Amino acid sequence: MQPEERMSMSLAENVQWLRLQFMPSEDLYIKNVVIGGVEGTLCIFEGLSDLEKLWVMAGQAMSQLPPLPPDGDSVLEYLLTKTAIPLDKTVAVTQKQVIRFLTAGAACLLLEGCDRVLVISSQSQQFRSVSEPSGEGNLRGSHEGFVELLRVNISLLRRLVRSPQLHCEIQIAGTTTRTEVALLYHSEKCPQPMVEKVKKQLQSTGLDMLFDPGYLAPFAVRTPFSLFTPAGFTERPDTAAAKLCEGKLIVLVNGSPYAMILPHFFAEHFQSMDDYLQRPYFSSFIRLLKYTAFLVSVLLPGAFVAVANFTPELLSSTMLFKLASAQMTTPFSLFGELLLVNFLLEIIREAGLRLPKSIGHAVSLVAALIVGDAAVQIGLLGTPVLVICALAGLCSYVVPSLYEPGIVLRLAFILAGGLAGPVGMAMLGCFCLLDVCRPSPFGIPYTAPVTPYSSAVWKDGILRTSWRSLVRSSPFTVRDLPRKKKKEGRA
Amino acid sequence: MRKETQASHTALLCVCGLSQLVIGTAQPSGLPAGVLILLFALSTLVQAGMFRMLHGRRLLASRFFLWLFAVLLLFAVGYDVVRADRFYRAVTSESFSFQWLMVSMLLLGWYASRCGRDTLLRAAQPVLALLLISLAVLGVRGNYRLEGLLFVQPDSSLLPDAARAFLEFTFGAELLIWLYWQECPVSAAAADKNISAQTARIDPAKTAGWPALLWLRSAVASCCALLGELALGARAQQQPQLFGALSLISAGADSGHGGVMYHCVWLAALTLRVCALCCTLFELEKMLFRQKKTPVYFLVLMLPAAAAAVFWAALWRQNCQSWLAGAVLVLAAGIMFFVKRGGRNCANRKKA
Repeated sequence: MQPEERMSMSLAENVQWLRLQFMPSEDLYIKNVVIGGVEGTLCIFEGLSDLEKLWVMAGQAMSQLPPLPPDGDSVLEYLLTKTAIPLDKTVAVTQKQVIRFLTAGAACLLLEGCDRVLVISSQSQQFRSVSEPSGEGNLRGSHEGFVELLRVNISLLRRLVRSPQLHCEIQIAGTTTRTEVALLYHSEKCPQPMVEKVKKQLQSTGLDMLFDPGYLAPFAVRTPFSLFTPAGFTERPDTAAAKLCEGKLIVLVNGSPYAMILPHFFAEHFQSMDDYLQRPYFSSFIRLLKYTAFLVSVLLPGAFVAVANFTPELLSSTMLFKLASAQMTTPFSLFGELLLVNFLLEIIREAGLRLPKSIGHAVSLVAALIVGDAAVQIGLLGTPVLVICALAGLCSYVVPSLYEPGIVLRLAFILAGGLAGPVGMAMLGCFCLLDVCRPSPFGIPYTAPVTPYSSAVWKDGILRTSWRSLVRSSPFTVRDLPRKKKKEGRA
Repeated sequence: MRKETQASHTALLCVCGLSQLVIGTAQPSGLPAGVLILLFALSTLVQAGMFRMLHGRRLLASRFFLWLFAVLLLFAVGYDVVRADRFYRAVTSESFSFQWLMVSMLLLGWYASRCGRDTLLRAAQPVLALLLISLAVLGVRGNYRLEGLLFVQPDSSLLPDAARAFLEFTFGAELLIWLYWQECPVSAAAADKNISAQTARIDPAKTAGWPALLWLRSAVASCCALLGELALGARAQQQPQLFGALSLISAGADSGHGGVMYHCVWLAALTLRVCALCCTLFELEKMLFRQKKTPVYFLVLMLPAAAAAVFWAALWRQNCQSWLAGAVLVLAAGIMFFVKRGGRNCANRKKA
């Protein structure tokens, strides 16, 4: 690794280098100034840094300096130690540091005869105000969501976990974008080897660009191809804070309103912040409802086609009659029809999602009229198939974080059930079970605490007991979960 | 061993044992339930005695034994695929190609071996829970009649069937798998202490609960035979798939919609057993070809498994079960011999 190039003692050379680096960027603002008889240059990026704020903060202090020896170092030392100008805690000495500070919105003051650069905190970046997260609604509890600015997100977490053990480490990732990545953890609750491992893996990503923590997930938890990722995402600071208290790691990326939770377990997809604010019996009921909805969304269409095609004797005569009469009117087989409707539903969802909202509503309307009404009326699709698909689609929205594996598995189960019947369903079920049991980030099974079985599954897993009961048992952290040292399997 | 790991091991062993019972091999046709219960008890006594003999010995001490174990596993994989096919043909009117079933089961076995032993241990617990629920529901909802039970008549014509049932139940491959999974460490902690699958000795303390497990297996098999006869009466002796038939009858008596659920769960349990066998094969392959890590050697082992499956399927269609029982007996005897020899060699070396 080559040593970083230091700034020059000559102001002209430094300015020349800066111009070479950024020209012809119109937004680079360079202004020559004289401070205490020493020539200098102030550099900022317009928009990232506020010129007016800079003059208010530093202009007066810099123009009224007492008599100083006319060399850059003395002026810099005086500004650094004897004025109230809000300066960054570090002084830039290398070219890389200067670029980093400038692009972060700070103002850089270069002085003649000085190879150090004063960094003035005059950032004034525009960002979305803290508002309710769009994808993670809650009935009760906090209505705050993360925003795109990293420092604001860190402050939101710091405000909720006011503990000296909350550590925040910032790294730079992305060779082109040079994005700031913050790693937050509770030093007492989070196992140190886990922190070190994540840090090491994040440093060795080799990514060219980075705009979201999703880019980092495959590097942070290096599991071979699996339908399920042992990394979770949240838009809510309160959820992230709760995970920090459980000893997990939070990864924030500048420019993204999502936090990545490491490690994340399968059972956590079925939990929400509301669970902890409601009565335990209702929270447990909701969790069971979510598990059922997920299973219905994945298995129902496949089971329906398997039973109807391979073991129709298991259906009641009324159901069988209705199914047969519906099938008589359609040109497709039941299997083909199910596949077609599921594909159509996904196309409609995707179209509604990417289009502008005003056109998105029109897409929904057209889809409802064409698929829901006209297709049935002209006998292109059968009503039972539409009902089954609609029910499965509806259930898939109950657990949004499992939507991606859910839809792929639903189609796979339709294929397995349609082509191989109950055997296919059983085989694919086995495959799914093996697949979900496989990921083991940091030696902790993804399926914990359900399997390997732990009593935590009844306390705060599939069900939830009352706070009084949870308080009586020791606070749960990832340290309590079964861990294994050796990397398992070959894949 | 951690408590969770112990529970996972027990769950997998139970799935391996129960799956073949519910699928139907433990209820050989032609024998009344009373005879079968006696046979199962006798077999369990023999098995318990055999395991006592193995205490303190090295399971995989000799290379020849490794090969023998691998061959037995191959036959077990093949036989299980045949079992699954027979079961499926018996419980549904729809046929499913044997070749496709074999390919899909072997592919799953390959995937499981890639995932590793811990994945299988984790997967075993939910499958066991489903299996037990299905058995409990079936036991409660079944339409049983006491008058269906038959009196045991001493008859010499029962002897060949009884001998076959005894051999099949006593020398099943799953018992060796149980021992292997329980005893052969693959963890980092064991590797640190220089303990490998070939040097690990069968620890009497670790296998203290084995007689209980063996008797449990025998009890479940006896229950299967008894429930079958209670529900089907004399017809139970002609049914090669008692539990499958029983599930159809009891599900039909109640709601008429549940049979396929039982069959899917049981097939999944049998598939997990095949996965456990394949995973063990994979670990044996690593021991046999330690210097050569290419997966082609796994194929060398898996292809004969497919061939064995086809072979056993052909045998079954010719109704030659006695061949199967004989082959299993010879292999098991060979294994016992080599385990004993391995133990003796180790003891001699220690003395020297």
